[in-house]
Amino acid sequence: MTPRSVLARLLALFRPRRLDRELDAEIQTHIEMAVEENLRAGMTPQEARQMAARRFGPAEPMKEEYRDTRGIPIIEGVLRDFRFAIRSLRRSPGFAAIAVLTLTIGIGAATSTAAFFYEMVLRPFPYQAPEELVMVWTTIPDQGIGQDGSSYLNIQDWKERNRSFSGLALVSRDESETLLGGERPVPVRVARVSENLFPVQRCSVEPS
Amino acid sequence: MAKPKADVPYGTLDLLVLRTLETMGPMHGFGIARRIEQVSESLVHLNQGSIYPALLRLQQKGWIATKWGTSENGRRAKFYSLTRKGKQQLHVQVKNWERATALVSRFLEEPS
Repeated sequence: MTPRSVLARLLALFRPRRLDRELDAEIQTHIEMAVEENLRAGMTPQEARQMAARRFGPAEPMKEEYRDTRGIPIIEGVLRDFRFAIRSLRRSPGFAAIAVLTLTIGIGAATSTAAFFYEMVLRPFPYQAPEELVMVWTTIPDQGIGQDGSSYLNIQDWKERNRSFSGLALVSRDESETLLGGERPVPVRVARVSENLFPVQRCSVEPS
Repeated sequence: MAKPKADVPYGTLDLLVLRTLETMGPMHGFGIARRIEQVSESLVHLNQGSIYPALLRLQQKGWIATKWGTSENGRRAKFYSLTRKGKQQLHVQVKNWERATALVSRFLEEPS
């Protein structure tokens, strides 16, 4: 395909009706000229018309070939399917409504699941090196305690003897407070932390 | 019909159209079709309509140009004419055709 014919085909996509009309007009002129010639040759008007049509040959397959040559069949096919789909949906609004609803719910469900999964699993923590962060617990196997808080003195000892980590910060366990001063009291989850928590975490989000 | 007519040999319609436009100058579709029939002395069966896709192909290649005009009987008709590129291409096509037919006739002339 030369660039020129690509251009012609692209242009043809945007004005199929006008080009169809042009071809129809051309065919019509052709037939009229043939009828005229046949009349001059002494045929009856009916004979003249029949003969002209026969000599022209089957018009529809020719038009089909013409259209295929003219445009880009794949794109035209997609456009045609699209228009057909719109027409069908318009004819049965009930079905269309159910289809739209189904899609809406489906897309909505998929999106929220994906968003949830991203938040919980994929989204990286806002720390510069999350793989270097560990949580330290006290365990007391005898009493069946797996993860418990530690006394301040223990923590002091750990801080002194620590050779593996760059720092140790403290976070109290879940606590909640009531925030006053707005329109109504709001319960909030809070934690008491040591002042070195953010530097140790190397957190990129400033506390607000 | 007195004798069976052959179809236009495959792939030759473009050549016939180009050659017709070269000898006759700008023509409308009907004129081209009739001219091809007359020159072939009706030996060939041509669906006149089939020249239109051929004309479109040639147009897309830039070998022929179109222009709406008025026919000898005062009808609005689309006229086709050979471009300079079309003229060059016609000579290439004629050469190719002669080479192809020469090749085939060599085989046919060979005594069996």
